[in-house]
Amino acid sequence: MKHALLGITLLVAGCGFENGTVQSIGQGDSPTLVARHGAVVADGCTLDGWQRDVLSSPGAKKVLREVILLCGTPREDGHVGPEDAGARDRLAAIVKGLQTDGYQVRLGVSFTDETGVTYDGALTAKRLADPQWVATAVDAIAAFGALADGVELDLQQVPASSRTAITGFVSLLAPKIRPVRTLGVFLPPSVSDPSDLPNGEAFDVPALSAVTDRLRVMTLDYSDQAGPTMDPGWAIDAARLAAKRAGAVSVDVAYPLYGTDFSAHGKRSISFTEAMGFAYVYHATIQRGPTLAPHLDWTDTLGVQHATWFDDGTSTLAALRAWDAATLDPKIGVVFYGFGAEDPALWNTLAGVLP
Amino acid sequence: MRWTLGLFAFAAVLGTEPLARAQVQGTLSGGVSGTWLPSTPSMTFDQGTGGPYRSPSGSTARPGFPLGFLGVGGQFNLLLGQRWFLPLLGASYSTAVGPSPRTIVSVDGSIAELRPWASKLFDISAIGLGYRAKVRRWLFAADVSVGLAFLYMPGTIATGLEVQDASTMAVTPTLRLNVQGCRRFDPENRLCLVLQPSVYEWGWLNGGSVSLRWEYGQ
Repeated sequence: MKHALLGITLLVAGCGFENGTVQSIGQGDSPTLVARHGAVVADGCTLDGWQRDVLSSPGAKKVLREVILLCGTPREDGHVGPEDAGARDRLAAIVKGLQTDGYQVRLGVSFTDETGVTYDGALTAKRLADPQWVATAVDAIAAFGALADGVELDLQQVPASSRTAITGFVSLLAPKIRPVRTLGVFLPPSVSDPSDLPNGEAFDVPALSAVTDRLRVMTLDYSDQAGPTMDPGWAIDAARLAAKRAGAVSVDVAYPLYGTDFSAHGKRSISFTEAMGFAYVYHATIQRGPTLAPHLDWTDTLGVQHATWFDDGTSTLAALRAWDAATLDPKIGVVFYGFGAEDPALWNTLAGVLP
Repeated sequence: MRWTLGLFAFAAVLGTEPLARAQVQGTLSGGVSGTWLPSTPSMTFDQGTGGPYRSPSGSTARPGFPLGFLGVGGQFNLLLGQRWFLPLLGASYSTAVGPSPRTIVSVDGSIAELRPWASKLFDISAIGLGYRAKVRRWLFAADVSVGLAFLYMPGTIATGLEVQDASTMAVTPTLRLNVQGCRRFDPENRLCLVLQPSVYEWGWLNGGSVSLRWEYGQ
C-alpha cells in the first residue's frame, strides 16, 4: 500500500523511480549461450572424489571438452616431476578414466621452482638459456606428455629478455609432441601491443602460434587490491588481441573458478564454499560488485579486516552472456581455472543455457 | 493569427482546387502528454575515454522493457481552408515516469547498467497532412505526421571495481497518426484530447501518446 501510494505520488509529480533489477546481458534475444570450446584446469596431478564425480556429471560434460591437469614441474636437471613409476601409473589411470568419460586430457607443465608453487622467472630464464637443460627438458616433457592427449606450458614471471629462448624452447618441443598430440601455451593477458604487462613481451605470440595448437590467455587475478578476480571487458580485450596475433591458431580466454581474499595477511586464493563459510561464520552480507561478482567484508578473530571476492553461477553466466557471438568470436574457447573451487551449481547452470 | 502562403502547388498535387483557393490560417497548441513506449530500443553508449576505463563507445545494448513518459509539448499547424491542414512543426520533451527496473546489460563485453527511470524523450514532428471537421461546439481532426524522436538514458559501465558514468542515446524517424477531439470555447480557443498512436517509432506500432492541449486559432 505504501509503495503504491509512493508510486502514484511520483507518477503524478512526473518522476520515474527505480523498481527492482533486471538483466538483459548480451546481444540478441536468444536465451542460450554461445557454445564455446570448454576446458578446465585442475591444479595438481590427482582429482579427488568430488572432482571426479563432477566431471562425470551431465552438466560438466555438456560444458567441458578438455581437462588440463596442471601437474608437471621441470627440475634442476631438466627432468619433469612427478617421475616415480607409482605416481606416473596413478596419473595414467586418471587420464584414462577421464578419456573414457569423453574428455581430452592435457598435462600442464608449470615452470615453478621445486616448491611447485613459486614461479621464479629468473630461474626459468637461466634454465632456458642453458642448451643442455633445454635438450633434457624437451625430451622429459615429451615423455611426460605421452601419458595424455597433449601438453600445456605454464611459464610465468619470465623476463621479456627470454622472448627468443621461450620461442626456441617451444619450437624444439613442438615436433616431439605434434601432430600426434597437441601443444598449448598459457599466455599473459596483454591488452596492448607491445604488452602492457611487465613480462608480457616474453611471449612472441605470432611465432608461438606457428608451433602450437592452442593459446590460452590467462585473464585471471585482475585486481591487485580488493576487487573482482576478473573483468569481462578486460578479458575480451586480451582475447581479441591474442586471437589477432595468433592467426589461425585456437585461442581460449580464462575464467576463474576460485576467489581471492584480500587482507593485511596478503592475498589468498579461496573456494566458493570457503567464501560462503566466511559469510556464515562471520555474519557477513554477500553483495554484488559492478561486474556482478559476489563479495563480502568481514573481520577475522585476530581483528584483521578481509575483503573476499569470488564468482558464482550468476556472475559467471553474466560474463559468458556478455561474450556473445557478436562481441567475441565463437571460435574463442573458455578455459575455467581452479577446478574444485567453483560454485557447485555452476556446471548445471551453464549446461542449462547451452544449446 | 493569419498567414497567407503560396501553397497552391501543394494543393494542386492534392487535386483540391477549393483548397488551393482558400485563405491559409494557422493554429498553435500546447499542453501535457503521456507517452507509452512498450519496447525500448537499442541504446548506443557514448562514453569518454581516460583513466583505467574501457571505452566501448558506439556499442549498443537493448534493454527491451516498456517505459512511460510525462511531458510538455507544442504544435503549429497551417490550415488550408476549412478542412485540410498541415501539421508543420511540433516538439515535445518528456521525462520517464513510474517504476522501471535498474537494468544490467553488456556493452562490448563489459557489464553495464542502465537507469531507465531517468530517461528523457525528445520528439520533433516535421510535417504532415490532416483533415478536420466542426460539429457545433466540437472540432474533430486527424492527421499523419513524420518526425524524429530521441531517447536519452543514463547508465554506468563497470571496469573491475570501478564504475564510470555513461550516457546512451537512441534516435528514430517517427510516423504518427494524430486523432483529436476538441471542445470549442470560442471561435479561437478550444481544449483538445489528442490520441497519438505511433505507427512507427523504433518499430511498427510501438506505443503512442495521449495529450491534453489548449489550441488557439481559427
